Amino acid sequence: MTNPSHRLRRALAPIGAVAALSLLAACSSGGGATTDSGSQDMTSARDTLIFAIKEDPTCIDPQQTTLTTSLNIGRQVVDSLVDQNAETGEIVPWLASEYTANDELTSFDFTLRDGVTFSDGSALTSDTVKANFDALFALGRTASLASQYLAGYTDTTVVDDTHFTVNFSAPNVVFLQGASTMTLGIVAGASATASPEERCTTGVIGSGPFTFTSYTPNDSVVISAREGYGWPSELRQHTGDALVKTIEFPVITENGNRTGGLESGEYDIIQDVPYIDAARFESGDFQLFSKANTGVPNGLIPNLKHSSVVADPAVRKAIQLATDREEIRDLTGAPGSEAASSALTSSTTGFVSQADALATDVDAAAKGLEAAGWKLGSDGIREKNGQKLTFTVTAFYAQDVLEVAQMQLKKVGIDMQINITDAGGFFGAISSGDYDFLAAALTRTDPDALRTVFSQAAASKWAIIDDPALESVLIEQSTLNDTEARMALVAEAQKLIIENGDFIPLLETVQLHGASSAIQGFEFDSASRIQLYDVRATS
Amino acid sequence: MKMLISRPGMLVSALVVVAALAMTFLPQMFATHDPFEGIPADQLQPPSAAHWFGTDALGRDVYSRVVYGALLSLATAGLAVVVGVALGAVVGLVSGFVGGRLDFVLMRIVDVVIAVPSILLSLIVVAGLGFGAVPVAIGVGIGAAGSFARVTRSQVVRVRRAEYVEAALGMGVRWPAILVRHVFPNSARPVIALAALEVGTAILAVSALSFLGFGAPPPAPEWGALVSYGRDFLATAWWLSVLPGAVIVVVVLAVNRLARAIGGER
Amino acid sequence: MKPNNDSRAKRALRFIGPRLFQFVFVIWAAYTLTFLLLHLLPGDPLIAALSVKGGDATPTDPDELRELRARYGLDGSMWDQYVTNGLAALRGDLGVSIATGQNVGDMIARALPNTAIVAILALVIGVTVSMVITYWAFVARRSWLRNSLLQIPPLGVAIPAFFSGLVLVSVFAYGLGLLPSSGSRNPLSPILPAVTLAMPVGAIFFQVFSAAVLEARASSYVFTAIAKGVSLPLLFFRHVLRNALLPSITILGLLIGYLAGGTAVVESVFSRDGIGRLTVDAVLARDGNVVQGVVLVVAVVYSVVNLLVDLSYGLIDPRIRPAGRRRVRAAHDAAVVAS
Repeated sequence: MTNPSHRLRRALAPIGAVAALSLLAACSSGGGATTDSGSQDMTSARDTLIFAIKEDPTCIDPQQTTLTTSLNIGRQVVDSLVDQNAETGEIVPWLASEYTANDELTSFDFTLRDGVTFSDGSALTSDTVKANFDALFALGRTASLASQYLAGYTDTTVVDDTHFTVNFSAPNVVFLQGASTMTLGIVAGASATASPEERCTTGVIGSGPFTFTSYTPNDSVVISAREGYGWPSELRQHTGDALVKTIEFPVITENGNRTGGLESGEYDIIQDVPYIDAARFESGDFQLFSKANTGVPNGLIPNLKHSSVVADPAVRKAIQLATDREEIRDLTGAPGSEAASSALTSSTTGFVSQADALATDVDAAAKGLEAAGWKLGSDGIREKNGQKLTFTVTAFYAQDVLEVAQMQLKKVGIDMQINITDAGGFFGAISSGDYDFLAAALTRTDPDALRTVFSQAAASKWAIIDDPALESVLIEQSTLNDTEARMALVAEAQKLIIENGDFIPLLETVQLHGASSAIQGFEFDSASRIQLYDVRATS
Repeated sequence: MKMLISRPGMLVSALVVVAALAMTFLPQMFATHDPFEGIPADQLQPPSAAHWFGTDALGRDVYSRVVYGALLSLATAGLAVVVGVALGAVVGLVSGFVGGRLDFVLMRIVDVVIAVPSILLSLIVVAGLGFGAVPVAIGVGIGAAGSFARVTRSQVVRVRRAEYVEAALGMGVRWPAILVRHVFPNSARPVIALAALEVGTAILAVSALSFLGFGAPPPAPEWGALVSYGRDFLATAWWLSVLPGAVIVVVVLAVNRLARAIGGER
Repeated sequence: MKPNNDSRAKRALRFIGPRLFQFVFVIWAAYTLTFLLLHLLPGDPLIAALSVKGGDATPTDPDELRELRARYGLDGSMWDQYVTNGLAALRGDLGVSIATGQNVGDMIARALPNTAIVAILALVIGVTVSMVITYWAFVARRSWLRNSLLQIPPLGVAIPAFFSGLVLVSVFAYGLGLLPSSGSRNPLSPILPAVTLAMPVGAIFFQVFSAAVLEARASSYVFTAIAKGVSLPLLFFRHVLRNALLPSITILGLLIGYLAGGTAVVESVFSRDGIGRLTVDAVLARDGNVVQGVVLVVAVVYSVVNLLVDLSYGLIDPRIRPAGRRRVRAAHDAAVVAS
């Protein structure tokens, strides 16, 4: 059913096109997991697979971590209350067979399915879920992703062993989608009460198809299939135990080591194939799995309070017009990926292309700058009243993307300096407000990512802008249960952000993993993270 | 001159060093392209007559980037040596001159500086001062200061105990005068020899730190950063790493060869 | 008998005492120096370290940060932290990494064996190869051959480890598929990193060793022996080797310091867990506790090796002590420069 190239195309198809997305498909029926395996062979020729990961997971507790690498592994160990269809965005049952939300989005009723046990033998009950959410909310910012999904959490009311209600003090638009992620995956009571540090190093006990076998920091993680697993969501291809016995995740930090190891057969699957190497693995003995990241694409995020140059709307408009997103994509992006064209990526729910407003027009950029008084200086850099048209971009990855933008902007007399720092320097700059532009992407499944980046009330404090109209739109969309009305506001927000030059999109990034052609059943979830339950090797 | 011709190794080394220095000060004479301006259509071209070292993923000429990188790499290494010599000389002079308890304490500190691996020391300094060429130079310089301090001190102690210095002291000549007239000239030769050797080491240390990502910010074409950048392309575009790496090897070999000549070995 | 014994004990004490003092001092000063350097850093170590775990959700809100600072015990005065951490380190407790939440002692204990395997293998390869080359040079009858052989090892110092590592991995792992490229899962995985490190380490050892051997070759007793018809190989193994090894041993401690630093680059190139990468990652994350722990451990290892070398040197051959010490110092300085 899935030859590699077909899979690539399918994964890249924008899923944001799904207009009538029912984020809250109320009262889904609890039909059991179905399989559409058809004629496929649902056995693996090998018991052990080697999956080279690009960085140390640091903390292997899926509830606490924010690293994609660690979330990918944690996904295999914990199940969630609900699952989300990666292509349609539809929420479907998983550990919860039924779920409803009230109109204010402040209270969510769940009914658990029967017969679920954790790998330590304990049973899944409403009390376990309550213990999970209580403990997770108490962790606060130590579990920063979870604290965003659980914003405003007050308590969980247990009705009986299988019925409970999760209550919030304010509307929470992201909770149900969050409940489908591994971040709100459910762990056994013993893990819920363990210390956060212990859970990071020894892992958690989940109800998922795999269990943690070992974690040697900086070296490897090993997970093993659990016997007697029987509650995958309907989105999976088979039921019963996972198809391979063991998956080893060696930490291989060098890109070249991973691609070389895949070619020489040391590794079966590798995380993050460099885009430039994609062509090597597109055919023959190899295949690529790719899925566009959701959320805010990589781009320049301004701080109007730090630099009078950046505060000039004409400058920001000129930067938008002078950057060529097609060229950036061709030079630094994944093959076949979309050029960035809005404040959301094309694969995010609610995405509306602003390509017309963003079309590259070097002449218009130059004219706009002239009109605003920025005249070309003798060194090719524009200036106004003795001030150079120069600013610094602070980033901690995607240096090549910025270098291309730097070359493009130089042609219209804009001097863009690049400050590549480490993650610490980046977040330190945000904390102290000491930056002209940030360059980064924010990967989130929900369009509420816009609020995280652009709202002045958000705790993250990334963009420092002055745009009251946008602010009220961002706040309002986060309180609406009516999906259609909410998406209209999300569209409005994207339009405002681009119009006012609050963001300069540069590149849509893509999760690009490589594998030998023998690997089957590799699936992405809605947040571009990985499901390995169906993964297997053909002989 | 005759010496150079009689030893082809020396001649070649001298030529390499002269060429590297010329590139440092007059890069526009040697570069064939703009090191920062890429031609996207020409991305990842292998070495050819048009692009001697090929081009990178953004279509920039690698040879021209190496030429412009000479300033950054060599100047950073030079600054590191200057820092090392200056710091080492001050500590060594004071230690050797004052002697006694201060000498003991200073020398034990020097022991510690030598005990901590120099790259580790540089890493700590770089983490403190921030990333970039100057912090890297200071970090590498401090790493090297220990051995300079030791050599300087041993020279100072030797000169200080010499009879003519004792005599001069007896005649009422002041310490600063002795320092300038006797100690400096006598200590200079071994320190210069050591400094010359240290240049090659410093080039390697600076490029290693840049390779690890602690050096000058992009798109600065520092040599170690160029090799590091090419890592991801090893299988598809070997020239991105191999040619800048080869340049480092050749320059360091040449510098070391000359340094040994200055040091008077064979 | 008795007074003689007594004075011997006194002499031994006089010999060992200062060395023990220096041993303790080096470790204390390494701790203090690193503590000062780390605490003079302008950056906020808390945010830097938190971002390792936090990714794009790292907290930046001042109130939250204040709360977290208290939780990680980073809110005391510098002097308080200096004393508390120092006393804890004496008890073997190196604290907790802010970035990973793991115990620093555990992290180092886990990484140390990986690094030790590579370092020891590199030392063995480097020393063996440089001894073989020196031997060939020693027995070479033609001076041009001898001189060419002697030109090889300095190459090892000039090639950056990150470069030779990349070339080796391309050829032997990807090209020929003979050896694993990365990680530490395969038992053969230390070989390529060790060969990479062996080049500079061997070259440094070579400088000291070959100088001693060639000095001996030019000496009168070798000249006399040759005239008497003793073969060069016999001469090398019977007499020259032992005398040349003595000064060479003394740079062992120095090589270990060099290896500890060299692994930073090599472990990155080969994606291996180890002390070097631990340090690089910790510096990137400004994870002071980890950097502090690594420096302490390296200082202890270095000091122990130097102490043993010093003691063994005095024991092996007390007669040549004065002359030996001078040669040792000279060799030491030469090697310091080379490293």
